[in-house]
Amino acid sequence: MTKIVKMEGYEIHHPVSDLKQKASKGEGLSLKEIEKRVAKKMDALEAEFLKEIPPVIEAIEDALSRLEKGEGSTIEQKEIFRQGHDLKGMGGSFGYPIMGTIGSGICELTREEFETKNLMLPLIRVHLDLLIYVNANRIKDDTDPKAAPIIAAIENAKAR
Amino acid sequence: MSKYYNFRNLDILFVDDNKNMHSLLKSLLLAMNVVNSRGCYTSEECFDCMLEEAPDIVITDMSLNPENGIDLIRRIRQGEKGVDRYTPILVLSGQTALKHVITARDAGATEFLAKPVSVGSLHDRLVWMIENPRPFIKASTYIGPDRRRAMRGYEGMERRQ
Repeated sequence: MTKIVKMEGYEIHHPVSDLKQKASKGEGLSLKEIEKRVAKKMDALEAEFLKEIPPVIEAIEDALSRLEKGEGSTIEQKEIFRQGHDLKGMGGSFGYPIMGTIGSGICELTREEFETKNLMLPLIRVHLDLLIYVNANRIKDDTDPKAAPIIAAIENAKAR
Repeated sequence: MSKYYNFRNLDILFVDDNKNMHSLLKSLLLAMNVVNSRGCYTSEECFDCMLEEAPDIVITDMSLNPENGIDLIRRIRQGEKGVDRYTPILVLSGQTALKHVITARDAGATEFLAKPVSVGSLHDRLVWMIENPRPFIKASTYIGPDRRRAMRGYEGMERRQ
């Protein structure tokens, strides 16, 4: 039963929380043990993630090509943003932070504050090319010897 | 006796429109012993799942194509369709700009976690939510966790005077 305290202009509700009771201390795992469990599954998850990158590239390519031909609209802009946004969230989560950085750059270049006609299409194209290269060479992060020029290129292709 | 939480009895519902995020979240939660996690792709599916079995925690993305995770949070806080409006909600999002965090908080999110997600950061947030239940404030324009106790990582931001 939620206890409700009436104040001047608002109420404070104290709902019963049984989270602590349910997640009782006793037979839980340490974070180290949990991390070990996740590490065992990461290879399979990573493979699954990488399978989804070619369709992402294709979707960005389709939308970008239409924009480059002057046939695109906010639909294409939103599609590119959405793909970049997904990439931004997933790249790092699946062990490919460099893809996350590229995704973040794509989001920056296609956010809704920009009018479609003013999009910097050549910079979006650079990001797409970098994504294709990173995917083909399985470059994960800045520890890869091939990563330095990619990181420099991302930096140079930012919206200014 | 172990000093660690056992998450086995928790029922966690996550909402994300991306298939890979489903695989990842399911695996991270399973590694934590959350055997009862359920995934859905849309707000409507989320409501169906909540009505079928009330979850202990909802984890949601903010941009659910073509919907909006913020609307989902507001609808849950209104108790729409009879769901438990007090359900703790963890926002898991790649939209990490301060304005997005504030929007999530003002919609009634309990906690915010930035993507990319790691098992450590997710575990940390779940433990925080278990150990720090927050009272709710119901006012004319807001219902949700008391914003005077800031979300994790945003301590002290915009405290009520």
